[in-house]
Amino acid sequence: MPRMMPHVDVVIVGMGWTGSIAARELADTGLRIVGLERGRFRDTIPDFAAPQALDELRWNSRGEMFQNLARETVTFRNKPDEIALPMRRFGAFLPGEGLGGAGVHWNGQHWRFLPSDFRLRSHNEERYGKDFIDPELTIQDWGVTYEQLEPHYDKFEYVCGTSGKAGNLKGAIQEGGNPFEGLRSREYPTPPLKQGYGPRLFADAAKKLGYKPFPQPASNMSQDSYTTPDGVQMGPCTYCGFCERFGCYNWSKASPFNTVLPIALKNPNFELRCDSHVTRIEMTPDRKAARGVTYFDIAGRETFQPADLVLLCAFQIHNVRLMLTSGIGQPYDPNTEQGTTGRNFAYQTMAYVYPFFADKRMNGYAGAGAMGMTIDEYNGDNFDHEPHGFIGGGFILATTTGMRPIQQTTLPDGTPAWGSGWKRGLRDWYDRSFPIQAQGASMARRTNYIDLDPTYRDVYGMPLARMTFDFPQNDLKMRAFLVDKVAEIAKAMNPIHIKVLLPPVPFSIVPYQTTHITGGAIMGAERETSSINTYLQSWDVPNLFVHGASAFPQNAGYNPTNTIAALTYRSLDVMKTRYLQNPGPLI
Amino acid sequence: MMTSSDEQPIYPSRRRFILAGAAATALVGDAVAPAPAQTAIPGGPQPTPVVPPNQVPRPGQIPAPAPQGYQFLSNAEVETVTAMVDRLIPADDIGPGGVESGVLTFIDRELGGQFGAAARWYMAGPWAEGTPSQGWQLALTPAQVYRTSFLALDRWCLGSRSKRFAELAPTDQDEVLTLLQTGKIELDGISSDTFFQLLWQNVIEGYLSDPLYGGNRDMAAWRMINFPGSNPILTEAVDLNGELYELEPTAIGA
Repeated sequence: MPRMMPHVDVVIVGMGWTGSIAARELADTGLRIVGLERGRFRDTIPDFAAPQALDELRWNSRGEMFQNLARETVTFRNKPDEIALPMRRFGAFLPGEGLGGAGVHWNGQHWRFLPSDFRLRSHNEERYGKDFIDPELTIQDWGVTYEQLEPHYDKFEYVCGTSGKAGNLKGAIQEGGNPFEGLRSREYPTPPLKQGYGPRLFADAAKKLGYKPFPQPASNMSQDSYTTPDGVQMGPCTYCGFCERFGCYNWSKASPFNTVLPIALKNPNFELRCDSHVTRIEMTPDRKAARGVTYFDIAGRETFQPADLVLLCAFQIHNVRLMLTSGIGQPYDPNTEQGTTGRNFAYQTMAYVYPFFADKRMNGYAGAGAMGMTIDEYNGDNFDHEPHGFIGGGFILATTTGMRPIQQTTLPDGTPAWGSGWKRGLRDWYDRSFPIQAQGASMARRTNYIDLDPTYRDVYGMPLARMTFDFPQNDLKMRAFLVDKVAEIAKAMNPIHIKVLLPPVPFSIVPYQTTHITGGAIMGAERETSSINTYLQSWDVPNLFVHGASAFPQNAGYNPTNTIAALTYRSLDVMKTRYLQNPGPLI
Repeated sequence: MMTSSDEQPIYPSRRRFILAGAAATALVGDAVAPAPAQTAIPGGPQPTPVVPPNQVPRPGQIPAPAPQGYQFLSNAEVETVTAMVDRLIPADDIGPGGVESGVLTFIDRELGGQFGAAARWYMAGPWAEGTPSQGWQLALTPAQVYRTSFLALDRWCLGSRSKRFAELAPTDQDEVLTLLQTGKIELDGISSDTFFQLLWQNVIEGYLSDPLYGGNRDMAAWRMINFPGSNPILTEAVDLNGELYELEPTAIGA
């Protein structure tokens, strides 16, 4: 018999960004809340104190803050007729584990999606006609508009102290910002970060070619200090170059630790339980409501936590797996295209170009995760796609995020792979280059989806999630187009050498590309083609809300965190103003 | 202070280290000079005195690293890895060699620890070769890959060159390494490029990671490329326009 815990009003599964935001927002209502986190308790001090936080081997090469794959992983295949095999070591993406989730090891790249991204199918059909969209794509509208999300984007930017320069302030285009962005109700809370030499070289070249470069929105603190609307203090970014894959030692990179968690943890209505791994959402006999969740504590004791309201706030793949193992919604079948759970799994389409300068040091180790200059001319529908035969796009970004020597050394083509020649290449070319990346959208496609693996299981005996994914032709055309544009800008800098790195086709589980896996429990205005409504509420189980990138119908050409948080804030608003007074389906 | 890449940095040899320890032992009860790699963070705490071997540390003092030795690698394996690392990153006038940098110590500790045991990899069967897109699908831990490959490689070298790998001339060693790298040698079911990639990954990690892990002795590889290590405050370097930012690197471990 599982251990029985006392009943609570709300149980939150997963204490990363969305779970921590939900805990902070709902604790004020007087509801009794339990937050379950599968990983351990962590905080800036002692876990990420300097200098231990600045250890490339421990955090990057050995991935100490990432999910422990020995306990749980995913299986992967490119096509439905292949046999999926487990991701045995980390590669393409890096889910987090532990309090704060992936919100501790992210870079802080803090983008809004474009207004047209939320109406992807309608917008493209209106502009280019129905036949322009490749029939294999299962893209759809989000059911929510940019205008509806704007106040929530704004809120999360102020919670994180995001640095940047507005490009569209209440409809007026601003010099130095992104002229393509949707309307902002106010300026960023803090000014842009300093920019390293590489990003400045890129911006100069881009400007000469007629582009409008601007600083990437960054949740790395650009001023000496910042106090969040909740009174939490953030410290200045010291450009140590250990952001992505690391915890921030100086409270400068926004994470749940220096934004929402301190407020939630102070509230006696909220109880945090770490080392608590949820394996199932338990349902009433008629399967119309959730009763609570079953989890295993650190000692391996099976435990039942009853609750009136269940918030699934785990990482994308875990949300989808929990829905599948708990029998929520109908599993998606790529042959019949029936069912919604697992549908529209998407990713991100990356490409990298490195210009090399023999006589210049980039000092790229003086970096920040979201430092960089960028252009947005080729994102979304910011350009005419008619001649190109694809939809979507991506931003182009020049960064220096740390030049950490094990991971980030990139040597010119032709450098010997080892021996004295390699060492000479390392000595002569280390830090003489920087990446310019195209970060492209990822369109949903009929055969890209998540279901349960028939063979492989985790340490609790639960089936692993099975990813079936390959790049759609649309996205490969988009990538080729973006790479040409990036190479043109790189050439305009007159480098001595240009190196192009493209992730393998078909998609491969190695090497690392981005951690932005999306979809599988997607939102929408129609229940036939979505798992959750636009308030992130399950169509089938109204007392279950599913937060995170699993809600994205497809992925845009931007980093997802700001949109994830905005969707969560919007959902919590409606929960507080409508659902709690009258629990039931929200329309 | 920067060590320019033209000058040979001075590495404390093991012999000098032992002599220094012996000299310090004579000064019973006196504070001992810090190890050469210990450097203060500007404005941060001062380095803590390191107590040499065979002395009992007092509160506030850090015991010196344990005497050199191998936890995982056998003597024969040490010979093989030494020969390999010496060809992969030779000692030359460009910068420190892999062997003098402590890459062997690093690999030995890694193979004997969590990494060698694949403690954080998914290692449940069933096993299948899979497609290239599906990544690593070997049923072996890194420690097993090394051990199996060493034996198979020496058999192959004895068969084709009548010598173990460590006994080959450097040019022959380079030739065999290239065959390994390009997947041309069968190593008891392990493709030799898989073994080579794992070895090269670990060699680079040992060469360029914090000295805490036994490699990158005296931060010599960091000095060669001018990487500042775990210096947490680099704000002023952001504004430079292509000039070298000169900063003594700092490390977590000495």
